[in-house]
Amino acid sequence: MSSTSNQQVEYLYKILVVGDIGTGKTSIIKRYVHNIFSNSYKSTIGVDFALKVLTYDNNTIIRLQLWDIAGQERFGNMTRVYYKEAVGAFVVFDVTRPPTFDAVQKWKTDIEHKVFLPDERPIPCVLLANKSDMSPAVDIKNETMNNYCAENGFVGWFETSAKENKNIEEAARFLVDKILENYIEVKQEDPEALKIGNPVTLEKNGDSRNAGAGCCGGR
Amino acid sequence: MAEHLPNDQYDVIISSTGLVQSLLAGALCRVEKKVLHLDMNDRYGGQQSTLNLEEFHQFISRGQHSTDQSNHEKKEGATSLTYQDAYKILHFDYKKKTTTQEDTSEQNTFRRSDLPNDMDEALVSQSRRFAIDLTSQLLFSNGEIVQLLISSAVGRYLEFKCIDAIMVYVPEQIKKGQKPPETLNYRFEKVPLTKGDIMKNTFVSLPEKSYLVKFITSCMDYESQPEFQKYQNEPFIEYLRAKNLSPLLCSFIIYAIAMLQDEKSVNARDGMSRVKLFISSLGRYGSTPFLYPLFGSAELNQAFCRVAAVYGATYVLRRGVENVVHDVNENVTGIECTQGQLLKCSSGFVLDRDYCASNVVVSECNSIVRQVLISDSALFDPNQITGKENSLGCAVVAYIPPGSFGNDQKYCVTVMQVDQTSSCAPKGKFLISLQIKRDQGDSDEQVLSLLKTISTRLFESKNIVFDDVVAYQAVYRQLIRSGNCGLPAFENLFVCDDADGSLDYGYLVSRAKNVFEKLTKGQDFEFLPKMPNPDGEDDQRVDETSRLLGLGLEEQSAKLDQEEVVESKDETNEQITEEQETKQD
Repeated sequence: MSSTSNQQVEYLYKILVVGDIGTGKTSIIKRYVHNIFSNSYKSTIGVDFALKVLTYDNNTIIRLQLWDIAGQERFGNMTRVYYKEAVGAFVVFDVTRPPTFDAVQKWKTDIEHKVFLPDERPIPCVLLANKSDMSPAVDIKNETMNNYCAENGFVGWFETSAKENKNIEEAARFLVDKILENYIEVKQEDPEALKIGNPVTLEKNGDSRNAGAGCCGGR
Repeated sequence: MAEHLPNDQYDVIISSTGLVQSLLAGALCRVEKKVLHLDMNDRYGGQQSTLNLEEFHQFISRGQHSTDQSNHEKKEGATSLTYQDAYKILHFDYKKKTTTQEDTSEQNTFRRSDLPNDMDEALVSQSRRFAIDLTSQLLFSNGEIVQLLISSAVGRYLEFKCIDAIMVYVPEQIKKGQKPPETLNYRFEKVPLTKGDIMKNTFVSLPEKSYLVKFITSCMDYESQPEFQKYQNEPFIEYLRAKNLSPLLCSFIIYAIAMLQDEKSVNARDGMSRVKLFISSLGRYGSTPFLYPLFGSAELNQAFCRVAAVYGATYVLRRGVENVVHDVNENVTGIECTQGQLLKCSSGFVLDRDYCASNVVVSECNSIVRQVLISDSALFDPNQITGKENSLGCAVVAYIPPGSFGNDQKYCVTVMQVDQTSSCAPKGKFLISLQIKRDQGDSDEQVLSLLKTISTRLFESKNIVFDDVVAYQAVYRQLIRSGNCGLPAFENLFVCDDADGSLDYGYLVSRAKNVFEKLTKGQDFEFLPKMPNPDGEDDQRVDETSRLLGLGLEEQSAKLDQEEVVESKDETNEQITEEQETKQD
């Protein structure tokens, strides 16, 4: 939940980062959270999520949990633990490899089926056309991509490069804006949907670190 | 999705994502074993699967499936597997939609084709809000699985609901000097578990109260008592009688505390060790010793699978196993999966009972028969259970001792009710399950009709007509297979038995640990060591992140210990809830 000290509000949001193997999900997360980039590729082992603290405005601090998909990614069989309480998602494809763009729809559908807001609406998804420092093999002209987003239910898209640190902050900011809009709407619509009862967490003091600052739907 | 796996060499291959297998996958990956985890279903959970209504209905309305061994070619160095369905559907029924709903259905964008067209719209539109367990299980607050979730930090993936009340179906009490009526009236009574509860209780008489308090306080060191030593090999019930416990208290202890199926089959030693486990889990998280995962049992399996995945396991759903491949020394060297690909495992292969049909005769198996109900009306009223007005809901486990519904009822019926407070049902709906053990000789029809009679009568006793409130019901039988699996005794083949029908996870955890030890023999690995801090990959950076996160791991566990010292947190819990509720207002 949010806590107030000096009128400052803190939110904790869980964001999914999905997309085919080798599209640069981990690089995007590393660039965004630690501002580092490495050309050598290694698959992600032992990392659940990365945390980015964002000073949204003078009164708002947002902590973003960015959940990378783990070794099972190639087959798209994520557990519900991965999806649950997520409030937004990035779907990443590699502009140099068209099959990774073809797979975008599959990832989007998977998200729609497995997680949604308390009012049954899908969570906001932003499409990232990554590796844009290289010459694209996918048509990423503005008009084409805008149409694609409208047709497939993406709230927006960005041409990104983790290598050149291009548009990653912007994309995150854009997604957070959308999440905050939802959060405020949901709060007004159905306060009861925020947290029902008084669930037990085994590590009680971990409450502040649990994701899903209220704005969460299951399944 | 029929693609071949790019890698065909693993240390261990595991089939099915039941709890034993999921625990194993997590534990093996944490010690850097290369694990391939397959499941023939398109969901995680195996026997502990949790399904939404649409998935559940698919499960219920499908036919039996099995593989026919005659189709397999006999291959040298390979043993083909025969699939056996652990479930048999005995009955299902659902509320039909009314004619006024007919007009709007086409506009409903959430309508999906996999639920029948004539099903009630309210059910269909809320399908995703249901989390229906195929098997009823609960976690003892102080049981091995909770300790494991804490020590491994896997618990951070999960949230739980503490069961609010434990009830037993008992006959009304006859006061001394009163003439007993011709037929006894039965009703559910709450089992008082804390001293405060016992004192407040109006159903249990004063002398009974003092016996009960004495019993509960004495059972932490029952072994040293002379009475116990005398009775330890006698039936449990004899021991309880010798302790001057009334029939009412005996019912409470045998069914609700020791959680036995009948009063005959267990001796005092086993009975008391079960009582001790129960009592030692009291007061840790709430007024009963049980926790239930929000969104259903399969969350547990998925938490362990997520750990495995984070540590490098490959997960492939919708893929079964056709053949076990072995060498001349009778060692399993790999498997052939349903896509035909040959996959090798150097250390071992873990197989689910579902694939070992060749030696199992269904009529010789014990089983559980389970009725699942979706109801608009609760059997256990949340306001009454929680003692609050406008309660949001509750979670209850209840027991109906054998014989309460005639001689046909040979075993105790376990009833569970969950709702939105366990994130298992939409607001205003209740998920109720009844289950009973079925002996090998019993007929399915008999058990089916018994369960139907019981659930109908339970609603009737609340002046509710079953058909008016139950929107969906299904009854199915689930096999409990164990013993010889019929496969050759390969040393590195591990067959996971079915869940044993008990509510707690003790058996499954010990089974997983056992297989883990064998698979890592001589390597002295810890079973599921603590997962590092999720953001700890970058230890050198003392950045804003860790400053804000604030707490190191050691500090956390210290805090956890402090929590445990607090013995009865009922009052504090209630205060917290009240505060939260006012905030929401």
